[in-house]
Amino acid sequence: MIGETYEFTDVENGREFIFISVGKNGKILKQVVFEEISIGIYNLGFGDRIDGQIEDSVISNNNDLLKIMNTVGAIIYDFFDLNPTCSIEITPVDEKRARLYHTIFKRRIQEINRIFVLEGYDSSYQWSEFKVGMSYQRFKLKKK
Amino acid sequence: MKKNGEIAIQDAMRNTPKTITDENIHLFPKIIQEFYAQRKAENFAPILTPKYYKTLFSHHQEKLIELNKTNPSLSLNLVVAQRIAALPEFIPAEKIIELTTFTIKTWQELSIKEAVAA
Repeated sequence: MIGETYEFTDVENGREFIFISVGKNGKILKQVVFEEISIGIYNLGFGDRIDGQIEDSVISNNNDLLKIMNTVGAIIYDFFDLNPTCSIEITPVDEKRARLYHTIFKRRIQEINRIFVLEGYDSSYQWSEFKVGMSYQRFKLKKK
Repeated sequence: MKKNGEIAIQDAMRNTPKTITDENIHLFPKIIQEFYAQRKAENFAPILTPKYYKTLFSHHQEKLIELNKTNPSLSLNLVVAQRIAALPEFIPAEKIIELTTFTIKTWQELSIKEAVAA
């Protein structure tokens, strides 16, 4: 169960999505992109669309973080529906995001594990199954 | 008033198609129409943010470490050829140059570590 999400739209063949965050700071266009880093492996990019660019380090403070993260989660489901054999890598852009992603994965790990394999890349340069309490530099998600 | 605006935009999005096309773009809010026009003008080119490159370099480093573990005696030119060939085709020339330099430096460091360990 993902929870409340924004309506989102596929812009480019399941690789680029947009939605509009609506909150105390008004309407903010959000963009989620999956860009290939190697055959079958995609980087998840996400941020505010500002001046024709994705601003992935901006804190928009629109009081709707949970709904935004739910929407990104729903988009990831859509991505895997369209690209079931691919995997995505999620790299936190800063420490704050790293903590946020660890917290989200910790809270949702049972739900994630039903459908996906979630791995973390640790400081010993190894991918391993995500474990609560461990610290990871990057995350990798693929469908079971 | 803000609440009304929020409801209006949510309703507008709820009634729009799941995929944008040239034929249905007029059904979307203006903010999305403007975005789509911009992306179309860019020919939907890949969006390569600094974070994308951070992930790309990390992935590249990870593959070099794996390669060094499995085949430490591989020659530098084969390592470079193999890793650069694995890059997506849209990577710009200046980043290929950076990645080539990074590959050489990383492989040499890994080879030194391997020699010391031996």
